[in-house]
Amino acid sequence: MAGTTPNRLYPYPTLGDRLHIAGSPDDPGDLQLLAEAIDDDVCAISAGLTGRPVARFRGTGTFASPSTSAPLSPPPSDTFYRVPFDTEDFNTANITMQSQEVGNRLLFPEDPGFYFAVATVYVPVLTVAGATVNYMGLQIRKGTIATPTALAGRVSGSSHNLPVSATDDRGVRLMSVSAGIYMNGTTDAFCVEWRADTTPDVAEYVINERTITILKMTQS
Amino acid sequence: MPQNTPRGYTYPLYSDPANPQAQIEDFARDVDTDVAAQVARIAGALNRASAECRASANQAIAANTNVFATFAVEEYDNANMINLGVNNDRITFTETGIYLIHAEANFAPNGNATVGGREGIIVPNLLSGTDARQSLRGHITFDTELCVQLLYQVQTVGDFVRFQVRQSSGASLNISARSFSATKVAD
Repeated sequence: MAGTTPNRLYPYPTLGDRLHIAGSPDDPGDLQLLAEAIDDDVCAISAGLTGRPVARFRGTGTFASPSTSAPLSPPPSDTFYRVPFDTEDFNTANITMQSQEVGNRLLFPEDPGFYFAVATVYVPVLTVAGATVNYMGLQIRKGTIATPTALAGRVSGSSHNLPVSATDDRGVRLMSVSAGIYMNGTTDAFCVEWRADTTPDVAEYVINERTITILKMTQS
Repeated sequence: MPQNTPRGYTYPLYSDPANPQAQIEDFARDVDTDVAAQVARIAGALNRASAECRASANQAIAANTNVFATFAVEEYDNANMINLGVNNDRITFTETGIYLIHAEANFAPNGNATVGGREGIIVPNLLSGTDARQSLRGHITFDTELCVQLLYQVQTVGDFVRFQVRQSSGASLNISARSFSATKVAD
């Protein structure tokens, strides 16, 4: 009776067996069966070698962050600050882009593990005459798909607190923020919030393209 | 006498006694052991040592003073790198290799007219000169948030990293929300 190896279950003849030599293409011998089993196994392993799971989502067009007069110490969280994404550039990490309606805008990793994320936002010059930017803040937060409209907990933040005029004498054009964070694979979801404060207050600050790149660092 | 390939697969020579069943089994088991080890290695490469800790309670930072940020909650640790009960300001490496280290903090304003700067530095214990830092001008009324990243080669088990913060507003202020993580990316 043929045996199998303990780990990969490759077949081999045992001492009590009569060695079977291939008789025809439909009658494989023992060595052929073993060779084909190894071949299939190594091919399957090779096909699974995709490297570290990674995904990038991009938001195209503009996004107007409202309420620039919000108190900013501590920086508030509200769903209307959440930056929408509409494009999946690549995704081998099993991350689902949830509804991009206001109050949702979550990126849901469906597998648990430790993740590293980098978000960027392209910040154009504020063109409102006479207005000065006091503060711009970009944060990665952790929401939940169980209650998408619930406020999301702060994960990481990056800010610019230098005064800037309409002529953009600060030169800030791209803000970025990074984070290392565990996601549970069942409810935890990434979201990105961006906000600004100006003097005098303006109704909104319009930003351009934004991205979030998410790398999966562990398998559980 | 049977020979072995460089990977350890045993095969008989022409001069060896014919015992094909045992020789095939021997070969199959050699390949099995080798492939199983490779599968484990592949899985391990995607499941590296990682750890993360956080805190949200205020920590006072005196002006013009280097202070190591402290942490209160261990969010993740698959390699025993964080032990907040012993040291609440560090991630201690339990394996050598190259790590992606990340630290971030929120500096609360103190209303002092002297705004000054806010700075965060990832400081390795060994291999001085390999730290990474980020500094920003602060604000009299708004929070300042900064994050720092470092790729660091751990050459000695037991080496550790800390997150040092500093501010120059002329008076004490607090850091509030903050986090610190490390994840191994290569041997």
